Amino acid sequence: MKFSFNKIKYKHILNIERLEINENAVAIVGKSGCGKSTLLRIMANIISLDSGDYLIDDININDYNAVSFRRIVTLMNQKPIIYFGSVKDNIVIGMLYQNKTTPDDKKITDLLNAFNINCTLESSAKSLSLGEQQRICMIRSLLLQSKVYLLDEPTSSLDKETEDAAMTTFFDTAKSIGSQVIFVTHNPIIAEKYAERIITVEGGMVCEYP
Amino acid sequence: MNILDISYFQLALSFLFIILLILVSAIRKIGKQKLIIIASLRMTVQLVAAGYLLTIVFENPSWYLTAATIMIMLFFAIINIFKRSINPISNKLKIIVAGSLILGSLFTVLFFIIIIVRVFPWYSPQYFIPISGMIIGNSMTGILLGLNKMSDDFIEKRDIIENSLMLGATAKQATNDIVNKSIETSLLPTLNSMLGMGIISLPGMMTGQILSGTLPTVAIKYQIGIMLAILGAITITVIIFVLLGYKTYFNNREQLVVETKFKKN
Repeated sequence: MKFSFNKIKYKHILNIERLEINENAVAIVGKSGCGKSTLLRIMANIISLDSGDYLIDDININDYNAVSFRRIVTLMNQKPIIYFGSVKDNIVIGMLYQNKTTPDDKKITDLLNAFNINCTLESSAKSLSLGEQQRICMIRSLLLQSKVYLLDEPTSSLDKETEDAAMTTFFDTAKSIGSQVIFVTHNPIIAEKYAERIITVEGGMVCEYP
Repeated sequence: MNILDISYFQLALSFLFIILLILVSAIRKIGKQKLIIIASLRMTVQLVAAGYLLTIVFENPSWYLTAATIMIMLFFAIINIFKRSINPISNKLKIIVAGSLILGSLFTVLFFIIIIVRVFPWYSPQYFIPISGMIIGNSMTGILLGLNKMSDDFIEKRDIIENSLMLGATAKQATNDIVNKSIETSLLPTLNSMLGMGIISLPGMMTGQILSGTLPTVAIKYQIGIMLAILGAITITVIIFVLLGYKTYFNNREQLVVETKFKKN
């Protein structure tokens, strides 16, 4: 999908003259507090702009039904959000919201293995480590088979090796279902490795270095 | 079967308890003498005023005096909810709180008076006013508990609600648990008090009726009826409140709008 922004403003946080994102794998980098996360939240329509135009495939965001839009474009929080209940409950909750048929236990177990999480489906999700919880959130998002994934520092709670493995698994799976991935990261190596384009946000504005 | 009257001198003797309390407060340096005096004075003045007002209303039974009394009671109940809400609430939510309290209590009062007790005329103040008082008072507490629980949850579970929206939930799906918890919280105290009723305590209405010479077997029928009516009033009030109330936390793009101004006092 093509995301275009024209003279957008959000509080004192964002002020972008023009930005277009069309590529399949894009990294957004920049210092803490520069507005990267806010940009993702606007893209997912969790918050709305104060002024300016946000178009997706040349259609204004306000012409999309908000809930249907968020069922195509899925944002994954930086801080893993875990619901009360088991690992399985946490993995299927998004599919239940979207009235999609939930996968069988084998498929979920395969995904847990692919992401290197050692737990049963019935384990309490809150008892997992932060890094494991973050990967549970990745699985939860991937199962939704969204057209676009917006990831806010998806690997912030992972160590270097796990980070790389998790990103590879995520990108491979996303590619196999034909999804576009736009992710915020602090790590320039990860940005270089997985993105075809890197966008830098500085003080709420976009700077791009070719 | 007339109840014994209390002479003013006898009543004055009961203020000895207050003197005892003031002494304790002074000797122990608790420093609450002023509050004790103000509370006793206010209680006395308010009840004396209520006693004379009710006498006037009882001696001139008319639908408009009864209606006026009920409206005053509802007004103070609504003000009380706003004052005792832990979190600041939006104007939209205030209207919903007031509307659901009025609808829920009035419907139950009329049902109880006209269909269950079959009072004639329906506005007979001797029945209408005390029964409304109990139903409005309990609905007020119920909705206040539900309101505090819900407004707290919207602040504390903000991240979870937003995450559900990100996963494609509608506002209704994302707040399902919060709404249910709010209903549960508002009903639990009443349900719990029903568990011990008649064993641990004799409820106020029944005690009053028995003191006035009503047969206990009649008094319990009133008590059972009023308890169920109270439960009904809270249920109706809180259901209307939560089903409309949760929507005030979202805008037309189904985005959560709990701003920083909604933080705890």
